[in-house]
Amino acid sequence: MFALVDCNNFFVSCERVFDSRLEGKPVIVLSNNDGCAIARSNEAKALGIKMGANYFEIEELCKKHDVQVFSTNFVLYADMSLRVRGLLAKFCPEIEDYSIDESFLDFSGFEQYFDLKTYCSRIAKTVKQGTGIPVSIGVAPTKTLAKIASRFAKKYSGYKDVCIIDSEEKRTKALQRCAIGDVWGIGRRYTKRLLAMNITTAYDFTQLSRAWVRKNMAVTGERTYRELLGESCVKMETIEPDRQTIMVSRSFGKMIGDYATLSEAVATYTGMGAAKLRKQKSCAKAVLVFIHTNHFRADLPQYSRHIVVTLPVASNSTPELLHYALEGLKNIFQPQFLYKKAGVMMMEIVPENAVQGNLFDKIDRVKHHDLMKVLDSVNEKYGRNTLKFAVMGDGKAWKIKQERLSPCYTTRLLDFPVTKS
Amino acid sequence: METKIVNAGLNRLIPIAAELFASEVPLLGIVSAGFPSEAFNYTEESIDFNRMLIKHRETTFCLWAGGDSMRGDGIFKGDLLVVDKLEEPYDNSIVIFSIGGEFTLKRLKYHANYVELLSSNPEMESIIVREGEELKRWGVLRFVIKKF
Repeated sequence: MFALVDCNNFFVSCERVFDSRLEGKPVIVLSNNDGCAIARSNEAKALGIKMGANYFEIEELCKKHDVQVFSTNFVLYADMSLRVRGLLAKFCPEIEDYSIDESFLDFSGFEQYFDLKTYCSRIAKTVKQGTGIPVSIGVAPTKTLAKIASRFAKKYSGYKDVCIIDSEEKRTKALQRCAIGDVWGIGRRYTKRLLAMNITTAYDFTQLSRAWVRKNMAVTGERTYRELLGESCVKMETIEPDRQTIMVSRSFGKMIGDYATLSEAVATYTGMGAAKLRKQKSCAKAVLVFIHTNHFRADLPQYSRHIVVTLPVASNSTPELLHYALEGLKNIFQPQFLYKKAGVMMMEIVPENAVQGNLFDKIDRVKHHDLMKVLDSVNEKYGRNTLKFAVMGDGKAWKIKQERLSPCYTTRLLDFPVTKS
Repeated sequence: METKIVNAGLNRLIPIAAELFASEVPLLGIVSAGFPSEAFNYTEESIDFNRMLIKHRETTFCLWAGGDSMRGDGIFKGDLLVVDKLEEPYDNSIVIFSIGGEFTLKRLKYHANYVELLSSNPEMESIIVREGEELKRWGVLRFVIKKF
């Protein structure tokens, strides 16, 4: 049996752990740039706020109903996500981190020793008490069915956070109540096509012939079909790939046309990438820089280019990486375009202690190392980019808007909650 | 109905994993060429404050003490509080509550049919939680870190 553990309204729940005033109130979290709603509390859903709704369109509604609005605090959400996963790992050795708020657990062999319903209730209770995050758990013989089960666990309070599909009868019932568009692995395109054929539920889909599915929906469609019938085809992906690259990229608050501003952004991303390298005690032998225009503005001339710059010696020193990244940017920058996004990727990553030297190396690496240590300790204590290089600028012209950011309650000394008395 | 101490007994329920997490490799001296020093037989691991202060890494959070309501227990404004959300409170535990957007500290005192929440500041009255009333704790205080 597989389980899908899904954190309920995860981003909103993270905010609520540290601010109990948000309990029972409509709360939404906005995407990068404070553009649209990407997480909603149940109360906000009840007000009719849709997933992905543009904030400027719902701003009035939010004000009227006193909806609490937050910018995405990824530092907080990532930390809380790690905590939830850490707890789940105590219950099941085989875990697949599917997304920031969903994990699959492989319960093969567990049935003999545990009553899965009791076991999963215990998981839900432990996660809720231990992190403050409410979860819904779906258990079924396949991952696709487990996903459906978790939706039921979330939707109907009668399940008490855990829904198990462990009989033919339950499977059929669940499929009959599951809209075809809600099935994991059936994309928007196929949904449209199936709906046109009057196939509205997952059950209708399983009544098609396997040959038809294979012919019309390729291998992935057939896999979903078999999974819905109870045959496990999607295996666990538990092996975490080695961090071969580190990517830092962001869209800008507004489009940028001048080199000076663009280089500030690229420099800032390079600094973030370098800090990540140092944190995992590794160095990069090459750095990739990319820039592109706004693909959604068909009315404007489009441009997209990347470049890989190889370093003489693998490094994790911010000034050194900055030098090469900006060198790269100079090469691909074209002044006649308006840019929407830039990114920096650290490549060919090697462990810090396995760096191949270079006879003609002119850089005092010990000095760089010490300087970076100071930089990291200051930024760790007072927040990212407290201490930075002048080329990174102040970000006023390009930084994404995050006007409603909550404190990093769990990771930053000065952001820890303060007791009242 | 009995008094609800939220999720009593939860800690007993963590099954397999204690072993999974205790598998750190001890450091046993540095290997180098030459005659091995007898002294390596006497090395001990250095003290790891994380291990000392943190029982469950995933459920431990830090808060700053913002006032002196627990001064009788030696907790003053500016102290760093190490709080475990998963930990079970016992009689006399100091427990963190989160009410109306504020975190407060109280000492838990069990009585026959009610629970008393005490501050160690004598000017503040204690709160009585009776049977059937729900008492939702945020976490349990495990350590206080002070700087002198």
